Amino acid sequence: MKIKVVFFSLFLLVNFLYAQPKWKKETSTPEVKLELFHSTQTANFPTTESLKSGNWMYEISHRFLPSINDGYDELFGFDGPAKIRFSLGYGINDNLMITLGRSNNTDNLDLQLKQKLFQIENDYLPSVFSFQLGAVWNTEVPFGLNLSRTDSRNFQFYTQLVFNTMLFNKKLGIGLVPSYLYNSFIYSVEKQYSFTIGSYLQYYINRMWSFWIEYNPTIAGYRGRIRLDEIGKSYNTIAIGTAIETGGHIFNILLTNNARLNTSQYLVGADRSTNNGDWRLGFGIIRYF
Amino acid sequence: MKKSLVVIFLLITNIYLFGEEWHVKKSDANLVKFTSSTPVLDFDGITNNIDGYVYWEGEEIFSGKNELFFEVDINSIETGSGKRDRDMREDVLETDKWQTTYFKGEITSSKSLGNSNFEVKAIGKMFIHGIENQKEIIAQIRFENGVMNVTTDFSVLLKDYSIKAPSLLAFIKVAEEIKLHLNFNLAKAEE
Repeated sequence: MKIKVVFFSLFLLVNFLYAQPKWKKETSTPEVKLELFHSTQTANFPTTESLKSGNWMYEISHRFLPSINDGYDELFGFDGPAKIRFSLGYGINDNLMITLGRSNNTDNLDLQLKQKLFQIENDYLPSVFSFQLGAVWNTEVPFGLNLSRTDSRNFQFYTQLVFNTMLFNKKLGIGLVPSYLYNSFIYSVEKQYSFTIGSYLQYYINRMWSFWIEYNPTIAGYRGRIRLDEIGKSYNTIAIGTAIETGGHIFNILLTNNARLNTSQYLVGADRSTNNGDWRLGFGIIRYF
Repeated sequence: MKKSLVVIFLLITNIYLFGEEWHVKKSDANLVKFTSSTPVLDFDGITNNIDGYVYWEGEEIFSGKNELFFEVDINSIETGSGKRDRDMREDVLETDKWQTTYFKGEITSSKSLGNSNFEVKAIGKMFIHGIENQKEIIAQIRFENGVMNVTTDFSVLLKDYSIKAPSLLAFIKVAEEIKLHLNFNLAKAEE
């Protein structure tokens, strides 16, 4: 009897040990990079997001010059004219992207390199840092000015450190962008510089809709005009708008006091003061491929 | 003494009656591909990050009790657009909640096609986006140089897994029916 029990137990044990697969899960979890804002840029500032290697991005933005106060006669600004920017971006690798843009404001050609630096994984304050370098060539030669298109004075350079974080379960994005611009006013005899600390908040209601606000005060340096046909000084920039995201497109519709689009012009400041109620309409479309 | 020999014989027989177990060869160029096809736009998502096993008892291949399990890490799927990959992970498949998709079932019938080729029918549970549904899959299996190659094509309906078809362009949505193509290798598990 005892032998039978031992045999039966051994039989069950052997069955138990062998009659089941020995496979053990080995799938390594791929590292997922922190992705905070939904696009590589806001209306006016870079975010820390980058294009994936080999991916493309196209942007077209308008800032209408008439004020919304001009009313129906100017269709609240849509009748134009407008400052326009086109740009094309490419992901060199997953952390480095290059963008070439052009604005019709002084025919400003803008070459940007943005590098993601590092990320801090944290449940409460996930953070990513990037920096952007820009080299700019203003190719317009004002009438009557004895200046070659390739004159070194037409070139500007800037650098921007970008900090992004997301709060409230990835609902509220916060960005800080300290920026330094060299040669702020290309027609100046003395080289000028501008230092600003840009910031933005973007609240994502859902995947499609979000609202944002941007503020770019000049902390030090030049805050004058950027064209010879302008008068007066520049002002701290404010922009407020909504972003609509659908199928690889991001549409920004905004109100701002700054019609300057390319970074080396935007960083000098706004061409209108908000105190006069001179808000202008603008929009931007970004398409990711 | 005689009884002891019988016991040992039975135990050994019991062990050797068990069949085989094959594991996915992760070092091979495995392919898991889905295709969304609409009249305006087609796109694929691919990964090689599949893992799992096939196990059966008995001397005959796929005979007797058997079991299979395959899982795919969804975070590793790439569609060629970083933006679309991210939208797919965060909004469509919600990989922060369900990182993998799997099929677990058994081979209910197999037919030899000659030259170590088989066509098998497997029935089991397909798990996607937190939902498990009964699924029947037909696959072709080929044994060659100690490798089991599995090829299969089937499709899933997004609504069966509570997945809302996302937009591809402004007014164009991902196809409701997603076609899947898998081609991967398994090697016999070491004892």
